[in-house]
Amino acid sequence: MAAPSGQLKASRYFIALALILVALFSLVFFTGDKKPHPKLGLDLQGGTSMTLKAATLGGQAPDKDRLERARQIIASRVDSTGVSEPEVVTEGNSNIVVNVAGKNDKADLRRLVAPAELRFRKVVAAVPDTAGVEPTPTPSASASGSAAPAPSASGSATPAPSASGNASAAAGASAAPSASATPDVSLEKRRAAVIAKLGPAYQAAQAIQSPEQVTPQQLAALKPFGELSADEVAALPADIQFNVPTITCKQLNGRMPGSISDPKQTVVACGKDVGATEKYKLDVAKVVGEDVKDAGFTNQPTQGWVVNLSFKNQDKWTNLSKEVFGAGAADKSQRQVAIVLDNQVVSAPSIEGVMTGDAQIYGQFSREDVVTLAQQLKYGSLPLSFAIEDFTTVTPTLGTQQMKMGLLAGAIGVALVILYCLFYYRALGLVVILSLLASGVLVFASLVLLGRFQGYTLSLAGIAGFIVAIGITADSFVVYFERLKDEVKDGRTVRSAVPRAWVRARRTILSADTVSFLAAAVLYVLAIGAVKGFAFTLGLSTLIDVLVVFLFTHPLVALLSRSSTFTSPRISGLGNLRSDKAITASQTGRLGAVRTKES
Amino acid sequence: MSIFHRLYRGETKTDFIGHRKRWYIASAIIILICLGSLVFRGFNFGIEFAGGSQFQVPKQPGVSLEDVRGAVEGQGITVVSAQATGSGDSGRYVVRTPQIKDEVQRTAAINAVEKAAHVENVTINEVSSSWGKAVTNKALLALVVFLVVVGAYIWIRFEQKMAIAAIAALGHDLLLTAGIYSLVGFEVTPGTIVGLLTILGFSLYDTVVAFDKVDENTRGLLGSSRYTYAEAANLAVNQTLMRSINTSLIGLLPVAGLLFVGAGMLGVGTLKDLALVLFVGMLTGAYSSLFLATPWLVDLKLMDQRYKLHTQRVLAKRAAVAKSAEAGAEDKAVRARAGADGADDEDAHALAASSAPRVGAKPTGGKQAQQRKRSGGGKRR
Repeated sequence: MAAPSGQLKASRYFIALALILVALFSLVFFTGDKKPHPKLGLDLQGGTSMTLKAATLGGQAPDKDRLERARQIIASRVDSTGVSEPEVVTEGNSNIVVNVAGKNDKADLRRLVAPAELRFRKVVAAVPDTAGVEPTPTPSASASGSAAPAPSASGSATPAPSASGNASAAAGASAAPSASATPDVSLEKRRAAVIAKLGPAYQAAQAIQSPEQVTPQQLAALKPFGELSADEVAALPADIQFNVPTITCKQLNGRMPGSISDPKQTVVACGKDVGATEKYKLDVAKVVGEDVKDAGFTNQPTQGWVVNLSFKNQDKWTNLSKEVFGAGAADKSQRQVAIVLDNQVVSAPSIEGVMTGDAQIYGQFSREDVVTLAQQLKYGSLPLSFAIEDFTTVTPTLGTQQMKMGLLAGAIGVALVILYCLFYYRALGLVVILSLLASGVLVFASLVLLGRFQGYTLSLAGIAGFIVAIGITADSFVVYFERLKDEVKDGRTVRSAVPRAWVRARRTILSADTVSFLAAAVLYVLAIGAVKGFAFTLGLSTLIDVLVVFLFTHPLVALLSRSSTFTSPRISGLGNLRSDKAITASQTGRLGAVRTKES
Repeated sequence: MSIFHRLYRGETKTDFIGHRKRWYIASAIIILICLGSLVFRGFNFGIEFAGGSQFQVPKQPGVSLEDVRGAVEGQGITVVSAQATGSGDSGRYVVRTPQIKDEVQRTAAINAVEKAAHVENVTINEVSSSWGKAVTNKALLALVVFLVVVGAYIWIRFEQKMAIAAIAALGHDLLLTAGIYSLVGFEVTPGTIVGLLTILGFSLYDTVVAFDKVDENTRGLLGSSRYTYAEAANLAVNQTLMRSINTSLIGLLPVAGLLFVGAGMLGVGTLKDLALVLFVGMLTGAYSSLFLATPWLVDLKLMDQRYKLHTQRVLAKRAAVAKSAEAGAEDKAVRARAGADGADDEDAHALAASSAPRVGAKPTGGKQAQQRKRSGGGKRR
């Protein structure tokens, strides 16, 4: 039998609850961005969400490390597209979820998962990108127009060969691969369509021999090229892509997936660095990613950070270096090899000699640079191949609308529950309202904090979880109040019934909440997608429900049970349950109360 | 006394257990229909299962559903379905197509839809055919784990037979809900599956509350011959009836709000999928926890020889008492009154005396006291 709940005890509970609230809300208002806003999911604020599943042999879950590495690479690819606050997380043991808020380019995300491939290509010519600037072709150092591969077997085969790093060493992978490669048939068609679209500008472009020789008049005629989409640019022949200065690196980097992965084609690609970007014309790929055996990095006293590279097919590499080194031209830019990943040149070191063994790439690298470059060389791109499982774009308008609708549904739900409780439990209904309010406040603070510190985002399914949880929370009150009714019916005064009913109801509430929580926990751990958000809020509400019932509802009822107004039958809806005898007893004083309390 | 008032006081006398054969037959017929529908009709799966693309645009004045549909078809894409959903400001057109693999075609379709619908942005949802399957597999796994964990919990907290009855009732709910989905042809999406799993918690909630009371009422039952297990269980169901109705109603009210907004105002999407399955499932859950879970528990218990014999003993004793009571009609009233606070045997007299045996859990439960209470309560209402 519980001790009679004295005044002190009830206030102790309230103080505990108040302390929790103060703690939560001071965290809300004094940490992070200090704004009381929960982090909204994409379906509530608009945005694009993509779920990628790692494709493995036999469908087993991939290696954890590889999944994490893939996530990092995808994350850096997303970052490089310039979207704000992208979120790339692993989900379960084989999924990666990419979330990008707000409006963004329709196809961009889809391209992030292309199995981009590593290629080593001889640099045939290079020209600075003219993006943005009114293109006055600055004749850059030297770019030989002739692409004749001249395998001049020059002697100086250095035993310890090294390749000096070009300054354009990479940071992060490049941006624009896409999920599906377009078949060649459609390439022909698209090329024809683009040529038709360009009209006279295409003829003007065909007349150009080298980007350095473009006259201002020609440039004006070439303007339409600047308005082409990346996909349209990709359909053009490589010569045109290189020669027309109005085709910018932005367009080239946005090209379709695999558009330059064919090793048998000469291609055009841009350097990775922002600002001083070179546009490279590249020979066929004579060494590909599969030829690389290993790549690592070391810090050397003279050269600083260097990347070490070894090959499986040493012959191929030796031949390539021989071809590129040629007669050992004095100008480094005439003996460069471009390392091409995805659609971009991540590094273009110049060759110092014919390489018969491992290679070293050095330059003014930071540690980060060499780590990235070594990883890119080693893994080419993603260590796993991915399939797009789910791709959803929600417009911001629809997001706001869904948010409003979710809140409306919640308001309707709360209103219905409150009306019912007032009708059924009368004054106890007020307790329900206050308790729901208390748990609402707690839930809100938890949401803001979870969003801030755990990155939890509130989705539409999450809102649905909360609405469903209103029922769970109110159910606890029902169990308690029904117990209270039972006790009162047995002839106790409301006051003495409260502690008795509480002891029994507590047991039932805990069992029932355990079942609810188990359901939510199992769902959360095992489920994927929107299910997780739903399960999370359901579980959270169940926990908060227990907190509220113990620290708020029960003490409140105990407190009220001492007020004669509240316990009057008309108000509490409890009195009419009691037998005449019991009512008489309580009306003739506190006798009945005292007796039962001691029983 | 109104039925509501009796409910409120927890004094209904519905014979849930005695008529259990009726509920069994009714449920068996319903379940058979559901199974038939599952086998022959199957489900109406959403795009998450078949794979495909869905374009959503807000309704704009002067744009018809045909315009949007035509825009998609104009790109050489087959349209699986096109519908106008939602109302007022949230009115939308939804066009579904098989999965579009060609990126160029997709972009062209999006552009065409934007143009036709006079909007700047289209809400797109594309899923591979394996996505729905992945979600379902995870959900099934969650279901199995959940059943095991909760079964173990009830087993430990109550007893083995209660765990079996509760899990069986759950199975019934799942089957019935699935059957209704199949029969009506509601669309099955991953949201539906999630909702279905959530029902489990709710359905169990009621069952746990009722079993809690059964547990309390039948403690020490075998030691007395006051009433049979079935009667004690029936009393528990009646005593918790209002609580069950209340919890079900209070659970259903927010879901009704969700359903109203989800289905009525938005038309498609997570809210509707969740709300619909919760609504259907919670109704079936309320039904099964009242009409099936406890009766099953009683049947399971009566398979136990001890309870069987106990029931026979109680009935035999009651018959004997009734006989002797008939003999002395005068004696009856006196004994019944005495039985109010009396020991087991006297109580049995009282039970026999009122032709429909009312099993009172309360020691103060005599007929007169009951009458008093009723009139007192009546006045106060």
